[in-house]
Amino acid sequence: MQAAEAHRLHVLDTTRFGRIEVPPDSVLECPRGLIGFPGHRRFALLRRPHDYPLAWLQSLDDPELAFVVMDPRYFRPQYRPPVRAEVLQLLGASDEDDLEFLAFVVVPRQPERMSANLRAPLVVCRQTRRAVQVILDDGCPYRVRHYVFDEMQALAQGGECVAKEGETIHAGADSQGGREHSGGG
Amino acid sequence: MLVLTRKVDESILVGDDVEIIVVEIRGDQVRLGISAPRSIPIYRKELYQEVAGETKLAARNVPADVYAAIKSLHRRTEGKY
Repeated sequence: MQAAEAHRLHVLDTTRFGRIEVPPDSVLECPRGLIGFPGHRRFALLRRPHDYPLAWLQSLDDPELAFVVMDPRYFRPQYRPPVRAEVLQLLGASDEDDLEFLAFVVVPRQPERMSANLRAPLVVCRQTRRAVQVILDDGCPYRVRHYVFDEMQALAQGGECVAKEGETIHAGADSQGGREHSGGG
Repeated sequence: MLVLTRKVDESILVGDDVEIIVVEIRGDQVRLGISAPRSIPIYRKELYQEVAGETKLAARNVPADVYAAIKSLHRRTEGKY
């Protein structure tokens, strides 16, 4: 990108937001696209204060395509999955400290059933603004669906959501007091 | 689609950089070894499809207004930290 272009605000007519100005430092380059959307290489990460903790990933290639994303550490403060050297290389990251993770969020009509994909996060290099969606190895404790509200509840009770797919969520087994809860349906 | 028949220890070359070897056959299961540059991600197909499906769902399932969801979240977390 030429120097003059780099400072120009990108203007985009989106379906969701209407006409928006995209600051250059919000642009992410995804050399591999996204899983399910391999041709979509450029996105704007829109973090607006009133959206917190959610953010928008707006496609710059298709004005109609936008995703809700969030930092998994909002409900899993320890979320720091191992990242292979090849991924660091692809993103031009010097080490894992340069990385941020974003989970794609499914927002159903019932907000309480909001779920985040921690198994296949978008891995972003802060410096280079390059990103790739990575599917974590089988050994990791993360799933394609983590129900955000249940996770928040478990976190507030000092535990962690450890339910398997399809099971009712209970508070973490090692929380003090060990009170049994049956989670929501 | 190219269909090949292989025995144990026989392999298939895909391009110059990828080799698929039949490591073991046991009953109805085949163990395959895949040798490829580390820059090429390798996934079980059903896992890849599950992720692709979930990402597409994330693109489709976005209400016009996420604020109801956010307000709900904030209400849930208020006073808990």
